[in-house]
Amino acid sequence: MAAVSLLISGGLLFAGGNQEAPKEGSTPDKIEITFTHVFSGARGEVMKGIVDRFNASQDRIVVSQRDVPGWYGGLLEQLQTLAVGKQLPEVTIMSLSESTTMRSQLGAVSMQHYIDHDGYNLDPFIPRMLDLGRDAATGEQFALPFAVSTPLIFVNRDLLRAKGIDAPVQPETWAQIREWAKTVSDPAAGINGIGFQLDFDTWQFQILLDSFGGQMADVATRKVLFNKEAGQRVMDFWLGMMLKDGSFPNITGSEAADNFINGKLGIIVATTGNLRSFTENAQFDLGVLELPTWDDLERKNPRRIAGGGSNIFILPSTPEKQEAAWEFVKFALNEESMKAITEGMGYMTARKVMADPDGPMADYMAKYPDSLRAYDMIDDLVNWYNWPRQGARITQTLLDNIIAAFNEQKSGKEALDDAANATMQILGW
Amino acid sequence: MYHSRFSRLVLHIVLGLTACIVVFPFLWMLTVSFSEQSSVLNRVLIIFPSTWNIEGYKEVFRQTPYFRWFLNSSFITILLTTLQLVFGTFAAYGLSRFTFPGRELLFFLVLCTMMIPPQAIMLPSYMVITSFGWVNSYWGLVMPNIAKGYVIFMLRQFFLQIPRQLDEASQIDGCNSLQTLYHVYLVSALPAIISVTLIQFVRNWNDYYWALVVITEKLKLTLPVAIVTFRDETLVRWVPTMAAAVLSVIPVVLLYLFGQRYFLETNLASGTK
Amino acid sequence: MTYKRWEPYAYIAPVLVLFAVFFIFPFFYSLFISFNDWNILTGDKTFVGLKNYRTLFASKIFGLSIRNTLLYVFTQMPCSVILGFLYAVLIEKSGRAKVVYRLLFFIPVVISVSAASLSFLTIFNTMHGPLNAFLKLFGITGPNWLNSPKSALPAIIIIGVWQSFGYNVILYMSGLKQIDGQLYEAADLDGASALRKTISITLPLLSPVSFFVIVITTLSSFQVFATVQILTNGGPNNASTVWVFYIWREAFRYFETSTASSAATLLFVFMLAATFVLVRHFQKTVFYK
Repeated sequence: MAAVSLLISGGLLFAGGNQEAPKEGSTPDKIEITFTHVFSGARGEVMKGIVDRFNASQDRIVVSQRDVPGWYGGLLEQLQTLAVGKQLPEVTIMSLSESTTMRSQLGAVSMQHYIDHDGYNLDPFIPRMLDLGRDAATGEQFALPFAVSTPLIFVNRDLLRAKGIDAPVQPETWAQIREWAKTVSDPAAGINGIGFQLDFDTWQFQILLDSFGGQMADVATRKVLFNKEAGQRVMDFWLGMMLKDGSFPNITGSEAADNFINGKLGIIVATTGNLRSFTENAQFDLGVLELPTWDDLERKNPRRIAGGGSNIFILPSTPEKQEAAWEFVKFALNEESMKAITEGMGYMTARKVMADPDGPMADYMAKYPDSLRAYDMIDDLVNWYNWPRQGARITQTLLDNIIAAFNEQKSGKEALDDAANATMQILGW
Repeated sequence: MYHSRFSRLVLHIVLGLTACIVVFPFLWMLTVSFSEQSSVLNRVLIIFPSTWNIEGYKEVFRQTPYFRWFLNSSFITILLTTLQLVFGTFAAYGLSRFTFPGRELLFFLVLCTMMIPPQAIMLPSYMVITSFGWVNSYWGLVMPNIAKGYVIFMLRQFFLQIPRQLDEASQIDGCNSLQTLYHVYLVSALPAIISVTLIQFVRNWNDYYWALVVITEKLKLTLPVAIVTFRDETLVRWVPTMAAAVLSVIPVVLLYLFGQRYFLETNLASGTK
Repeated sequence: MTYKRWEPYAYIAPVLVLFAVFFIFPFFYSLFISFNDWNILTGDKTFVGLKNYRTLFASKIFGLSIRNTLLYVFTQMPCSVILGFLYAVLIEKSGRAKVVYRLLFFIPVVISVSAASLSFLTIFNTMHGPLNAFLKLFGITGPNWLNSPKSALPAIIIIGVWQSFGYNVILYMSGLKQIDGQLYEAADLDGASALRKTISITLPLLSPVSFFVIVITTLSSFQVFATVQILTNGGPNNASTVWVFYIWREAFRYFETSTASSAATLLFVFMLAATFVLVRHFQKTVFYK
C-alpha cells in the first residue's frame, strides 16, 4: 500500500512537472515563447541552431523550439488542438496552403503592424516571395516567407543516358518529360520511368493545372474550376503515363522516393526540400532539372509554379509575447539564418542576396551548383491556392478522386467532376 | 488416439510452416533493421542479412530521444498498470463477494465499458481532458484509463471461484472485509492476478490511439506513437524505421519470454465459466 | 457473511467515479454535441436537431465506413476464431513441441500494433516487399496491396487475423484441457472417427469458450484503427476507411466536431445494443451457480 502511494505521488509530481515545461521558471525579466515547426533529424538541427543563436544573442527573450510530427498536416492538427486547450505557441511556421486557416481560424496576428511600427525594410526581399505572405486584396503583409520550395525534376542520369537521353537542365515541355519516362521505363528490369510525390496534397496537381492554363477555383463567383479543360489535361497526362505508357507506377510518393534513391526509378518530381537527402543518398549521377517552361509543343501556356514550403506566423498571445515573437521572426529571417536554412535543408529563402551568386551563398553555390536551381524559376511563382474553409477535407476529396482514377474506379473526367461537385457541396457554393 | 508416423509428420509440417508465417513479421523487422539500406530493396527472402549493419540503430539513437521515450513508456505503463490493478481489485471484490441492490446493473456497466470502443467517446473524453487542463500531460493519458472493465471482469471471475468457506473462515477469525480481501482473495488468486497484470502491462505499453490523441509534444510521446512519427518524413527509410520498431518491441517481448507461464498458462478460459 | 451496508459501495466507488467522469459523462456529452453545430475553435454552438445525423446518413463516405467495418469484422473474426480453434487442436496433439508452438503463436499478441504495422508496411510493399517476392516464386503477380482499393482492406484484415488468432489459440487450448479424456476413449470404443469426435464431443463442450472467444474477438474487431491509420490512411479513396477511423479523421483532421460526435454516438449506441443482446445470452448459458 505504501509503495503504491509512493508511486502515485511520484507520478503526480512527474506529471505536474511535465505540464508546461517551457513556461516554468520564468523570471520576471525574461519572456519565454515557443516556436513550433515540422523538421526533425538533421533538418531539425537547423531550427535548433537558429533558436540557440537567437537566445545567445540577447537576454530578454528565451525561445524554446519544438518539432511536431506529421508534417504540415500534423502541425495544423496540433495547433488546432492546442487552440482548444488554450496552449498555442507564440511563433510557428505553416504551409503556404493554410494561410487562410491560420488567419481566420487560429487568429494569426498580422505582421504588417510590426513591420510598420519597426520600420522593417522589405526591400531586400524578393517581391514574388513576399506575395506568398501578402493578402492580394488589401496588400497587407500578414506573414513572411520562411522556407520556400518548388518542385524540381530529379533524374537518374545514368539510367537516362543508358537510353540515350541527355536531359538539359531546362526541359522544354511536359510532353518531353513524358517521352523520357516512356523511354526509361523498363518494368522487366525492375526500372520504372517516373514518379510524382503527388499524394501528400494537391500541390503538384495545382502546379500542373496552372501550367496547363487552368485555375483551382474562383472565390468571387463561387465556382470550382479544377475540373474544366485544363484539369482534364492534367488527368490525361498522368493517366496516360500510368495506364497507357506504363511508365508511372501507382505507388505512394514515399515509395517513389525510395525507389529513386535505390536506382529503380528514372525521374521523380519532388520538392526542392528533398535536394540534400537525394544528393547525399543517391549512388548514381543525380541530375536536377527545372520544371518545363511550356505545357506542350504548341506552347500555349507558360509554367506557373505554386510556391510551396512555409510562412512564419505570429500567433495571438499577450502584447509582450507577440513583440518577443516579432523579434524572433526578424532573427529567423536574417542572412545567417537563411544561409543555415538553405544549406541545411535545401529550401529557398526570401532575400534577394541569398540568390546572388556572389553573395553569402557563393561558396555553397560553387560547391553544389544544383542547389539554386529553384531560384531560377522564381519569376514564375504564384500562390498556392487556399480554400476559404475546410481545406483539409477538400484536398483529401480531390486526392481521393485522383487516386480513384489511377485505380480505374472512374475515368479522369468523372474523378474531377465528382471532386468538383463534392467541393461545391462542402463549401456551400 | 491413433497416430501414424505419417500423420504426425504432416501435423508438424503444418504447425511448423504456420509458426514460420506467424513469426515472420517479427523476424523481418529484425532482419531489415540490421541490413544495409541499399540491399533491402534488392533482397528476396533471405532471413539473415549478408552483412550486419547497425547504422539503422545508430541513426535511431542519434536522431530521436529514444531513451526518453523508453522512460516515458516505462513510467506510464508501470503507473497505469498498478493503478488499474489496485482499483480493479477493489471493484472486483465489491462485485463478487457482496450482494447489494444495483449489483447486476453495475456489472452491466462494467461490461459496457469493455465492449464499447474507446474511440466512440474519444472526442468528448478529449474535451473532458481539456477542461481539466490535462492536454499533453500524463494525467490526461492515465486518468481516463484507470478504471478498466477488462481487469474488473477478469478479477471478478477469479474471485468468484474462491470457495465461500475461506471467506467465512476468515470472518470467524475476526477479519474485516479488507483483511479478508488481502489474506484470502489476493493470496489465492495470486497467479491469476499476475496474469492479468502482465496482460494489462502489455496492452498499456502497446497503447496507440489515446497517446496519439493526448500527447502533442514529441519528447513526451510513448514508444508506439513515437516510432510512427519517426517514419513520417517524405521518405520511408526501411532500416531505421524497423530499428525503431524493434527497439520499441523488445522490452515487451523479453517480458513475455521470461514470464510466459503467466501469459499462457493461468486459466484465462476460466473467465468463460 | 456479515458486512456493513456501505462496504461494497466503498469498494466500487473509486472505479464508479472514474467511469462516471470518463465514460458515462462523455457519452452524454457526445450525444449533446451531436445535436448541435459546434465550432470547436470559436465555441459557437447552435442547436440543429437531427441535422447532423441526416448529413451523416447521406454521406457516402460514412456509409462506406460502415460497410468496410462490417466487412472487416465478419471476415477477420471468423478467420481468427476458426484458426484459433484449429490450431489449438493441432497444438494439443503435438506432444512435447506443444510448449514451443504455443510460445510462438502468441507472439503477435504482444507485439504493439504500431510496430507490427510498420513491419507490414514494408512487407506489403508492392515492388520490393517480401510478400510479393514470395508470390512471384510461384509465378503469381501480387496485387498493389496498399495502393489498390481491392486489396487494401484485405491487407488490413490479414494483419488483424495475424495479430489476434494467437490469443484465441491459447483460450481454446485451456478449454480443450478441461475436456475429460474419457469421453474420447468412450467414443473410440464406439468406433467414432476423428471428425465425429470433434463434432459431437469437442465442439459442444467448448461452446462456452467459443462463445467467449467469439464475443471478445468481435468486440476488439470493431475497434480496428491503428493499422488503418498507419498503413493506408483510410485509402485508397476510402477503401479502408472504417468506422473508428472515420470518427477520428472527422474529429482530429477535419475538426468537424458535430459529424464526429454523431458518428461516435451511433457507434456507441450500436455497441450498447450488441452488448445488451450478448449479455442476455451470456446470462442464460453461463450464470449458473
